[in-house]
Amino acid sequence: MLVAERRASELHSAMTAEARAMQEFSFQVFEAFTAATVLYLLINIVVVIVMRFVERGVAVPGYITGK
Amino acid sequence: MFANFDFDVIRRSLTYLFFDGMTFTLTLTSLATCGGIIFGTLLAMMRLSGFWLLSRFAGLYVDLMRSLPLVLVIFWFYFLVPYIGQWLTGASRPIRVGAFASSLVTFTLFEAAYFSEIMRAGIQSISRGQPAAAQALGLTYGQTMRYVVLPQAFRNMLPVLLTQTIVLFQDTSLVYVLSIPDFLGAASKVAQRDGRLVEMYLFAALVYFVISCVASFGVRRLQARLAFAR
Repeated sequence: MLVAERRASELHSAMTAEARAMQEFSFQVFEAFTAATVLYLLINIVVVIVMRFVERGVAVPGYITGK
Repeated sequence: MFANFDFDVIRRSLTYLFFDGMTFTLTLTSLATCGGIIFGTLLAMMRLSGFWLLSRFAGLYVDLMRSLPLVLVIFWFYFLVPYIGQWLTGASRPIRVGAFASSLVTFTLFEAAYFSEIMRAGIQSISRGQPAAAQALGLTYGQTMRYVVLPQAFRNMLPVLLTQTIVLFQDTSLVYVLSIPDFLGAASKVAQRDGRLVEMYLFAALVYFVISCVASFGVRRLQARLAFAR
């Protein structure tokens, strides 16, 4: 799970680079970074929801401590 | 390729690179690791708790932090906290937050989310019979966690915790957005000043590689030694 998300964040680093390029071009730092932040959140919320289902699906019943 | 390679620029800047840059990198890494593990363990226990509010809050926090890249979190924290502080204290101008304090708090908060997921996995890896037996002996929830569950969880997750620390060590180079001279920042400063970009960046890469590689081998050996213990 950790590995998959790290891969995803490496893919997204291109998006951060894009935001930085825009920033140097237009000096609209906060707008560009807000856009990048919102995009990241939208993409990763989908990943988080999918991972919740995966986690529930692969849990071994009766073994896990906690809830 | 190495014909006009200037090794002397590396030799000349060694003291600056290691005494200023590497000291900062290692300080930030160790402090953020300690803080991250403490807060991460608390977050993991909150997320697994029966209280709906606690587990919901911890879940939201962890998912939010893990959804954002570290660079953006560093950026937002550094630029927004002075204004939030102004708003909270009612001061007339934005409060001052030093770059080191800002980066330390950001790394601790950010890594706490990752360490919390590791610790949650560690706690959940303990079979249900153990806390049940502890409760049958009359231990309270706190005692069960402190003496039975958490020590085993830490031991099971030690290799992953150390691996995350190695990742954190590499991630500290992201403080370049606050222009703090960590190891990479110091190397790039010298590189720009002396016009020796290839030499300095190659040397920085080599140092990061050697340290991370040695640490990885150490983790692997530790893992092999821990393997029989369960």
